[in-house]
Formats: sequence, structure tokens, C-alpha cells
Amino acid sequence: MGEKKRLRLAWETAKGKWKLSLIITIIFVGFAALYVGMYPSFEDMMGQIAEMDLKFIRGFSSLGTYEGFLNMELYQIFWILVLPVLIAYVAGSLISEEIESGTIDLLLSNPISRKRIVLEKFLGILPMILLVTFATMGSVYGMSLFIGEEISLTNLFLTHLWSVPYFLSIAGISLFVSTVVDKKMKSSIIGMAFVVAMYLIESVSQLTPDYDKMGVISIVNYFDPSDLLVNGEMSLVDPIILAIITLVSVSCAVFYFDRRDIT
Amino acid sequence: MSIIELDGLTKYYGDTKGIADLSFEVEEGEIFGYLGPNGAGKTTTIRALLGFLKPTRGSARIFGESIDENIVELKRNIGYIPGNLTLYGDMSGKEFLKYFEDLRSSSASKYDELVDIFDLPLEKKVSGYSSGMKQKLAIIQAFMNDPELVIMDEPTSGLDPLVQQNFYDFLKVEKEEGRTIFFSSHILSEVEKVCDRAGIIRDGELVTLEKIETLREKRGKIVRARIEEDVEEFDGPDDMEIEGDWIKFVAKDDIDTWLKKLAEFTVLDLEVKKFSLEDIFLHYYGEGDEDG
Repeated sequence: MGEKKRLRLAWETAKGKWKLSLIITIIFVGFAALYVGMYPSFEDMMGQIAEMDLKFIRGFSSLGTYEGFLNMELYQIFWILVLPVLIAYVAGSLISEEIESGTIDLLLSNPISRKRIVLEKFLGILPMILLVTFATMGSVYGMSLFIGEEISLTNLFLTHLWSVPYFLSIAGISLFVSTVVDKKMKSSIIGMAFVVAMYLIESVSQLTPDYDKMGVISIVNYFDPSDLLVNGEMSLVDPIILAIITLVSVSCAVFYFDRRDIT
Repeated sequence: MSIIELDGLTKYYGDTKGIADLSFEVEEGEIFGYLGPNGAGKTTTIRALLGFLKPTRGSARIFGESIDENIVELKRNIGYIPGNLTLYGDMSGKEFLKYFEDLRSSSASKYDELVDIFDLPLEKKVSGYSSGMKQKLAIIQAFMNDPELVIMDEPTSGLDPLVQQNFYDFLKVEKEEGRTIFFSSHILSEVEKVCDRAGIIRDGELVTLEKIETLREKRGKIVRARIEEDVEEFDGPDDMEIEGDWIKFVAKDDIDTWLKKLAEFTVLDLEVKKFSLEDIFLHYYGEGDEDG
């Protein structure tokens, strides 16, 4: 009981988001199944499309392979951009929704610190992130077996595991925004816009060698599904960088929220 | 012992004054009325006390401990009813109270007693509650953990008159049990009815701190009359004012004497009005309501 009570706020947050979490998960499980299911009919065309050499999409040249197809169709857009935008939407209102509605008054009258509120709110969206990440993995693997394509479960698992720090860093930054901006729609939109901007910066940096260095300022640069999925290469530095970004942004959220006035 | 001590507590929002140099004490076991018109700074005071706002200057202590140091621990013994009440609409009343009991990790020992007094459909979702029902739920959560101090920001707004009376009676019992209550209101009669002492705040500053009996003595009825005869002939109290052909004065003790005096004249029109908070300011604290 004691443990559960200690994370009561996180639990309540997760509970409040469970419907949304379920909807997002169903959408991604569905899309994953759809794309994998489409592969047999597109298989022959892929080799030709790969010759177009669209440099701004990472791992495009490997489109001819099954993993390359998945990378291009599912991971480089849906997984890297669309899902993070949704995560930013949810995380971007974690604190601001309580401030905007006024429920923060009663919440703060309890003997719980503001630091704890921020940390537990952050913990509260972890279930959503884990659920969608691994349910989608299950969908990709299950459908791959179904259509008879071979895929390395280890690489697939690592790809999904490595997405967790990426998603957490986006959640952390959005959480920080939600402590600063009091209107929940506004704070969510700022979080979402941030993800889109990061994605664009990374795409442009892929496009031309001149802008190559620019990518380092984008968090998207630190998670490339094609590394693991297509090439089986595992970066240990990238997740650490993302973990640091998460840590810094959550700390900023705690620091700012602890000092601000709740008017 | 003082339960709350304010020492020059000041809060500015940028250049706008919220409260300035507030210093007063709330004693153990009293119902302290915090009286002031809307916008006087009552809510700002309460929010600063609870640590929602960082004071610009000055300090405050609750239970003898500085609020800057450990407000979180102090809140274990403080109940609070916010002024602008919003609750979690998705929860039922029961779920909400359970949630707060868990967050406080202390048992809600007064739960049954309170649920008995403030009858509520606890299984229903809070979003379907009327404002009076929400207010009752807020009262229950404030008292259920048996706190030593309860701070209430206009707690009777939204309550129907019958429940209001129940609430006043309830407060008196709570006081007898030794609980200290900080009660903010803009309604003079309400504060007179339940409080032991009152601090009156206006424009962010403390105007006076009085025992309720003293405040009562400063009551009276405002009498306005129009007579056919020359107004100068009427021998009213010293502070009588003449507004056109109207006589205006405050009948302090009884109005009988004055009515009999008036009866000697031909009364064309007569108004007798109860004192409002604004009248108190106007007649006793020397300030007109220049800012409304």
C-alpha cells in the first residue's frame, strides 16, 4: 500500500490518460499491421523506388529490403514524427491542464511538494509510452510472421527499446513547456511544434552535406531506427545523449515550477 | 499561541499591489474572519500563506514555523477550501475524497461524520454536481483529515441558505473541538454571525483588527428621511448629513428614539437600511469608496 500511495499522483495521471493511450496504441498497432501487410504487393517496386535516392529520409537506399521498407514506410515518419507529436500533445498539457482548470489549487493544498507533482506527472505518461512502443513491436513482428518475411527479433526489439529514451526526451521537453505556459492548448501546441521543427532540421541536414552539422542540434538526430533495424548497428552514445536531454528538461520543469507563482 | 502570524507580508504582481505590509496574528482555537470587499487582497493573502505565491517582502509563520522553510510538512495539518473552486470532474465524489486521502497519506478520520452532515450523492461524477454540491465536497475534503487549521476562501458562496446555516453551526462545533478557522468573506453579517475576531482588509492593507463585539457596536441602521419642514429644524446626531432635502444619519443603538423624533415632523419619505461593509468603511474608517 505504502508504495502505491507514494506514486498515487503518477497512477492517477496514467489512469486519466488510459483512454487516450489505448486509442494511440490501437492506431499504431493498426498502421504497423497495415504497412507490413502491404509489403507483398509492393515488394517488386521497392528496388526501383530506392534508386530515387531521397537523401532526406534516413536509410532510404535500403528500401529494396524488407527492413528497409519498414524503416521507410513506418519508422522514418510515423515513428519518428507522428507518434512524438502525439506524445508532445499529451505531455505538453500535464501541468498546464491543472493550472488552467484551477484544480492545481486543491492539489497543492495537499502535503506534496511541487517537485513531486512534476516528477509523478512525468512518470504518469510512462505507461502510455511503453504500451504503444511494445504493442507496435508486437504488431510488426506478428504480421511479419504472418506474411512470411524474416526479421531479426533482437534488432526489432532494440529498435523499439531505443525509441523509449527518444520519446522520453520529447515528453520531458513538453513537460517543461507545460510548467511555463498556463493554457493547456497553447502549451501542447508549442510542444508539438517543437517536435516538427526538430524533424525538419534533421531532414534538411540529411539533404545537403553543407548542412550536415546542423543535425546535432536536433533530437531526431539521436535516434535513427534504420541504424538498428536495417544495419543492426547499435549506438550507445545516442541514448545517453537523449537521457541527458530528458534529465535536463525534467530538472528545468521542477526548477521552474517550484519557483513560479500559481495565480 | 498564535497559529498564523503575518509579519509585513507583501505581494506585488509586477507593479500592481496585491497586499502590502500585512501584520496580524490568528490565535489558536478562534474563528478568525477575514473581511474585505472583492479584490481587496483576501485571496492573495491566503495564496501567499499556502505558498502558492512567493511573497515580495515580509514573512509568515504557521504553527510557529516559517512558511518558506517547510510549507509541505505544515500542510499536513491545514485544510483548505479554495475560493475559485474547481474539482476533478471525471471522478465521483467518493473517488475524489479517496484520492486526496491517499495523497495526504493520513486517514480521513472525520469522513463518516462529515458525509452525514453534508449529504451528497458521492457515487455520482463531480461534473454532474451543482455548485452547492461541489462546495460541500470541498468542505468535506478540508475537514476530513482532522487538521488543526482550516483556511477557507469565501466558503459559503454557492451554498443555499439552509446549508449555510448548517455550515455555521458546524463551524461552531469545530471551534469547540479546538480547531482554528481562518474564514474569508465579503459579507459582514456572515462574519458577525460566526467569527470571534475579524481583520478588515481594503485595497491590500489591513484597516482594522477587531473583536466581533466591537465591530457589532459599530453597526447601526442608516436612516434617510425627507420632511416637509425645514431640514435644519431636525435635531439629529452630530454626524447627520443633509443631502438636498434628505436628512441622512446613522442610528447607532436603537431607531425608536429617532423615529419618534421624526414623527414630530411631516415625513414625506423614509428609508432605513442595514449597514453594509462599505458603510463600515464609510462611517468608521474614514475612507470613502473612491475606487468603488
